[in-house]
Amino acid sequence: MSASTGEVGLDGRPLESGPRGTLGPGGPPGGRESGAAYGWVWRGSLASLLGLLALGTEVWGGGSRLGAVGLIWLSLAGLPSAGSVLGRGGRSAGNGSPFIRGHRVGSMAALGSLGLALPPLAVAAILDRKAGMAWGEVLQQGLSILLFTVVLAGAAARAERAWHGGVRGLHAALWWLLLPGLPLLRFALDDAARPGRVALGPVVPWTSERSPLSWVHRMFLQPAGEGAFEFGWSGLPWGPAAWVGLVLLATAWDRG
Amino acid sequence: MRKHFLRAGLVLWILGAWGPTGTTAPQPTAPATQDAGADRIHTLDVELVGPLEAIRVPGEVASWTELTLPLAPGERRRLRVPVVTRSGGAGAVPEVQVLPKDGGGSCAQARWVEGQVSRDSWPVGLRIRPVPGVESPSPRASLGVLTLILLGGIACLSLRRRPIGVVVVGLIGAGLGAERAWQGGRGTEEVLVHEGDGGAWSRVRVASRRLELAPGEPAHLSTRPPDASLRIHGAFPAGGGAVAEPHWTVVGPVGCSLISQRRWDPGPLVLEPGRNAWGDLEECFLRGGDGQWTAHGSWPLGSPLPAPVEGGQGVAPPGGMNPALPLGRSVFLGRLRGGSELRPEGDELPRGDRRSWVRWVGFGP
Repeated sequence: MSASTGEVGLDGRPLESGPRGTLGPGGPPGGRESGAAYGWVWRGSLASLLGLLALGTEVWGGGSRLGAVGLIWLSLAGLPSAGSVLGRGGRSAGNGSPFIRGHRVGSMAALGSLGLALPPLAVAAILDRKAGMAWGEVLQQGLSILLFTVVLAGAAARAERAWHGGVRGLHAALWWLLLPGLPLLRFALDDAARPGRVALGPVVPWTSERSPLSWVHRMFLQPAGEGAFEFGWSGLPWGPAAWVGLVLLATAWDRG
Repeated sequence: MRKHFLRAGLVLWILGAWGPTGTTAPQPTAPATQDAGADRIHTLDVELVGPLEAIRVPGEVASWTELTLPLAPGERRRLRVPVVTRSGGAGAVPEVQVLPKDGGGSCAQARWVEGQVSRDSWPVGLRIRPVPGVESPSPRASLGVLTLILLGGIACLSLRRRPIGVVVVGLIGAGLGAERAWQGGRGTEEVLVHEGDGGAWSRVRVASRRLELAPGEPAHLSTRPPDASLRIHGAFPAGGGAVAEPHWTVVGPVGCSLISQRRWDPGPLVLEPGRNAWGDLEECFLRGGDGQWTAHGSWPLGSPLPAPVEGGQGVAPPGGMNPALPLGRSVFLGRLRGGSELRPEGDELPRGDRRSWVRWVGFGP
């Protein structure tokens, strides 16, 4: 069912394609290998298409375009795999000698996401600049989004390709908790219910404010040029950077 | 494949849950009469005691003023803060919130600045002129730019097995897309009108959504719509030190026009039929007492008013600048080259449409 594509992977071994008519993960071992290696393609393609909508629509609430594109990319780039591509035997039942090691998959996904995310983020940054956002703010926020996208994409690819199922589980759990989980929990407890009715305590607000999605969502809702994000050392998104780092660390102990 | 649909659904759900609560289509604002709106801001005199990081002053119509001002413990600072209020100095003094709330800092004193001159004392002619409409800046990517991004994405995907190639294509796509987006469309728009009525002058600045208040003399600020919710951000100029006065930027919602007016003395600037000691005018129009407009083309600095251009009889100026006065008074209208003098000194104006006009009712001998 699988056949050599005639191309060579990063470790010099021939790449294999899935069966005719199948795309990405889910096929037999050869197809799974390709799918695991190129999971970023699916996420990046969807993010790019949604990014086109965010950049080209006339109806707009005055929010930052950089924030909109960033929200899309940060939501998608690091999305954990819905199932375990290799956990059902991709590595053990397949050819047994993975053609790309985990860290190489991570680098590949990171570079691929970087290439895909660069054009929409650059255009969004220019549009925000034209709407009044200062150059320093544009560069600071744009580069931060780009860095987070690259790191999250690399971490997701590493987790997909992880030798241990625990790595995948830990990555998925941390991603869910630190990116959408805590902000959604806060929204459910504080905003959806009557504000102030539920005692949140200090932990949920503190942790949810540092979510990269909370950070970019605030940017998304903030009209460009309002100076909501201070330029300089103190204005850098240190909290979101820490959370992104934790998600990456979750994949660090894999042996691949 | 089902897995990917699951992922897509998940992402859409996340985006839906996090999406904006509502959007407004940007629309060009209609020309407005300067006198139609009341002053929206009044100045508060505050004395702050550190330690504190910032202050926030709530205003009317869900507006607020915010200033980042790090003060050391025990340090005192006195400032003038613009606050959104219609009642001027007659209303209650708003609470000055010190941030962080429990940090030990406080506001020792807050009171309205007295003696602010109302526009009611201005000559009527300066108050009733229409100001030009400005377009709300909500730049979006053109079809060409979107196509470029799409093609770049397809090229990246076709090179997916060569990550360095993807990055190179991405960099090229980013450069081209940014260049095209920079060149196309309109950005932040601001119009400056030097308004003359006989010997009295004012400077009127009209901006869409965002306007920097000039430091020093307080300006009269009105908005279209008149009850727009405003946010005022203060920032200290770089290198200004502790004694510098903050620069204030007013930001309104999409579709909002901000109109700032102040009395102004043209000083050595002179504009007479025989002499232009004002500036290079790209185009100018003259209306005689009979109400007929005449286009005179460009009027270079230092030269007399040029003769009407061929076919210039009856050519009216842009509608937003036409004062529509009754017959009997001559009106001069000129557009300055390069839209100079649009911003407070030293501030950079984002790329966009810049227009600067001189409108003088009672021009000529």
